[in-house]
Amino acid sequence: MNCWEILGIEPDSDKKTIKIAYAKLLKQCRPDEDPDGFQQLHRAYKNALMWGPVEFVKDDTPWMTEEGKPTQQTEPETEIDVAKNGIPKDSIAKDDAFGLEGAQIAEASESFVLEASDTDNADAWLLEEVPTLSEEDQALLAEISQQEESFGKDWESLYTQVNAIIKSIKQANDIDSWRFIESLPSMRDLEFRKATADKVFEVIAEVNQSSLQSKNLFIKRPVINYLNGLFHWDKKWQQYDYQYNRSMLDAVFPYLEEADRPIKGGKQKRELYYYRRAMAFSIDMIVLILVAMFVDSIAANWGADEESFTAIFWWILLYVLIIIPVQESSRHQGTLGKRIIGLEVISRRGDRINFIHATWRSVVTTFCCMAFKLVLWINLILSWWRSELLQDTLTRSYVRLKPRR
Amino acid sequence: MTILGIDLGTTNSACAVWRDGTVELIPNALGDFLTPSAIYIDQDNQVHVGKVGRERAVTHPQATAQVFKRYMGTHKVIRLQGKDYSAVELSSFVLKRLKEDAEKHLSETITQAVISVPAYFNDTQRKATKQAGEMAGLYVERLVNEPTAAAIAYGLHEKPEHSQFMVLDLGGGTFDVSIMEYFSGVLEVHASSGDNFLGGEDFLELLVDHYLEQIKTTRKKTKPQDLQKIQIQMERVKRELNAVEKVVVEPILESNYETVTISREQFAKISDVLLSRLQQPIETTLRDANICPADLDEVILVGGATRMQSLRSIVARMFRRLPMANLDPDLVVAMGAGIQAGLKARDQALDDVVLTDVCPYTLGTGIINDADISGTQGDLFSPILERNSVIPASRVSSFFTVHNNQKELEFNIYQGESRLVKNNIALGSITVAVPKNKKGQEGAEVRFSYDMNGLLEVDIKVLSTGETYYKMIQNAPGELSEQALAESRKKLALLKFHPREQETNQLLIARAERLFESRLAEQRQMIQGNLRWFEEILEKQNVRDIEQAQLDFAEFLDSLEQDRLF
Repeated sequence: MNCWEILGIEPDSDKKTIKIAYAKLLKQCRPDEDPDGFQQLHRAYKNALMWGPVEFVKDDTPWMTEEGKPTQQTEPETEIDVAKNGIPKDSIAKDDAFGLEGAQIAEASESFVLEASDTDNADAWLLEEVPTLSEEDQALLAEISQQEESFGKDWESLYTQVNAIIKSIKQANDIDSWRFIESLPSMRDLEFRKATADKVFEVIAEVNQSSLQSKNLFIKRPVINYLNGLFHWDKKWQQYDYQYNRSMLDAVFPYLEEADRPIKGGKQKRELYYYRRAMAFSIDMIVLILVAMFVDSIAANWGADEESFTAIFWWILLYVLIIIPVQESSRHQGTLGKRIIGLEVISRRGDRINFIHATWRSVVTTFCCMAFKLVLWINLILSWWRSELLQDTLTRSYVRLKPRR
Repeated sequence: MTILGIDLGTTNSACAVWRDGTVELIPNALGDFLTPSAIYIDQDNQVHVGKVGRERAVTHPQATAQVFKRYMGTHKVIRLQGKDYSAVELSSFVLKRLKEDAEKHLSETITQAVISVPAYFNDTQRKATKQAGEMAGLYVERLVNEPTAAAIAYGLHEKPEHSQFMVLDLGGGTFDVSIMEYFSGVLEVHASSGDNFLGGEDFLELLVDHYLEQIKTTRKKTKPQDLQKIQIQMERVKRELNAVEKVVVEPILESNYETVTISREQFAKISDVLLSRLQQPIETTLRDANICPADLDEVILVGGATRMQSLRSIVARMFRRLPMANLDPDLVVAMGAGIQAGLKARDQALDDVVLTDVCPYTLGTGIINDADISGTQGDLFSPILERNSVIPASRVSSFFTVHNNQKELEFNIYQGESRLVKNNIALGSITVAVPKNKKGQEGAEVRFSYDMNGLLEVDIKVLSTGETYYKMIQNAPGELSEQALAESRKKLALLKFHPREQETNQLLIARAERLFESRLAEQRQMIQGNLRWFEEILEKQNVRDIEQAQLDFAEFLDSLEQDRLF
């Protein structure tokens, strides 16, 4: 039986007929008395509403004709109707979405005031009861219309400012530069807020998505989390799952604070990769020693034995302070040895570490190697207890197997 | 058999019944429809509920409990007169008092009730509410969501032909949002959402903090009794700000002599943080119901806290329209619960009304998270029964193996809205065996069935073998066991309820004692004298004299209290 048969009406009946038929049948199978019958009926009702004809609202829209903008007349209505029918509207598709939506918001807004103050409107049955508005309500109405006047301007300034902010990496990662959004008077309005939330998400997801291809996060956690606090993207994930593609979601969602909260009940154990690390270390040491020997032999050839010691010293310093950190903070996230073995260095959050962090790590590692007798014992304990070596613990960076992509 | 409809609120409770084709609110012993949800236990282990409890909060803060609805479904205990009480037990006191009032009013015994709960209450909190009912000797026929109850009351009061509206319910401790549609006798809830920790009490706390800041002190430096005094005064300021632009507060504490002026604008500014928290649940409901704000015919305000002018202004700006509040926002929910009770009893006059409700939270299972590189995120949440599905509901999803030769599938069942399961509530788990095969080749079909009483049943069918597994999820975390229930009944049996008839006298004495504490020299003597006189008359037990004395004494206290603020 299809939904029309269950409801006992002609296929493609209008909404009103569907609702009346549903209401009539519902009295025979109430949800608390006949759960199965109710579920079947309700499903049929929802399907009927979804597959029923899309209705274009022609009448009851005095403001549209009054405004005298025939081109815009049906567009917002269709969207509302489609939304009602359960098909999400795809506002991203439009390239000039910013300007268009802004215009629509401003457009639609004027209507509400009219509706609210229009006592002849059939829907406003409440207002008929209270023909005279109290002083406070009049003040509220004034507030509303004042807010409406600012929609167009606010949308425009949002557009220009956001575009300007994302041009500079420094500004884009400064929370203060985003604070203007909060203070826009139109942000109180639900529709404006929703449009803003989606638009800003798109902008951030897009820049991060392209920067992530070179393993870089353009807009970093603090700003993402600040904006999430403002727009609650994390609460909308189901809708965004539907609306945006995977890589756009992955450019924002994994960096939200909720992802960082510790897992309740048991932490996942990290792996140490002891032998792999030892091999990688050996390779790096071989490089270091080979070059040192090369420097030494050149110095010997030149007959400057005393200076060879200084040369080797500078070489080691260069190696520790520049070469290793550059490699570890590079796109490959590891020294030559680690790259050969297939390891990479990550920060506590699983990101690539920056140069300063990598230098610190390298210096600490060097000291650990020099004081190896003492460190050996500490490392034994640490590796058993936390699957870490001393330099990992001190610099809060870890080594893991490179994931295959 | 009358079923009682109860609104068990954070600050105030009320009850109503459906009688003779109309809803009837039940007055308490003092003649009020609202009974404060405040408990006072005196030295003789007698329980006082209502206004007495609130008055005693100043003089005996250690023996009174308020705002305990917030702790429903938790293990938190509140210590009164050396004994620990849970929120369930304290709520049962309130319910018991309401039951008594109703029995007195209707002259019949009542054993069944419909109790309203915030729509956003989770399973545990709902069960705790049911238990409170049982402890009070009421079988809870149905828990009705507060916004739904409010909508029922509106639907039957206004009788529009077809209307789609949003109910915003800001009570003492909780905020609820629901979108509903009413047509041809069907009240359909489209979506509901809310915030369990946002209510009038939070605004009051902010006002108290603001006052303390003005007199240059902090909460820690203030004695609990003084804090109670400030709280009572601020409650009054809050109410007065709904009507006037600014309120001048005379010194409350003995240690300071300054008057503090609080204006409406200041209050709106300090409460901005809370007001902005209204936004998110409202957005969620609109999104879930797939509705634009423009599609709503009406925005209805319910709950005492919606009287605040700043809240009305915010709501008006959000929806670009004036919100409506035709019925008394404090009593709407109780009226709705009363009507629901009538519906439940299948009263003739209500026979053509059907209500369909939704499940306010998402139920689902955990799935492997490929993007979890650092091991901090854990599994992803895969919803099976999306929030705001019409209940009873039943949904099926299929899941497949992720490794070659995987032997079993583990289904962890969660309730919540987060993308990551670690932020959701775990309800239980089932492990099913699957034959060895390549990854993705084996799988199981999971069916979630959720009934009107909030019971979740999980059926799993392994696709290749057809083997079925079943689990009923009933025991939510934090629920009391049978044994704990019996123990708690035993403890409560030791307590006596203060006789209802004497409540007026008790309240007057409690008020007098509170005023005595907050006044100085001459006034104290005056209060003392009057109190002694009143008690003497009570002892003589002459009914007519007592009635006259009650009136006189109340008038005296009123006049004392009124010169306080002006």
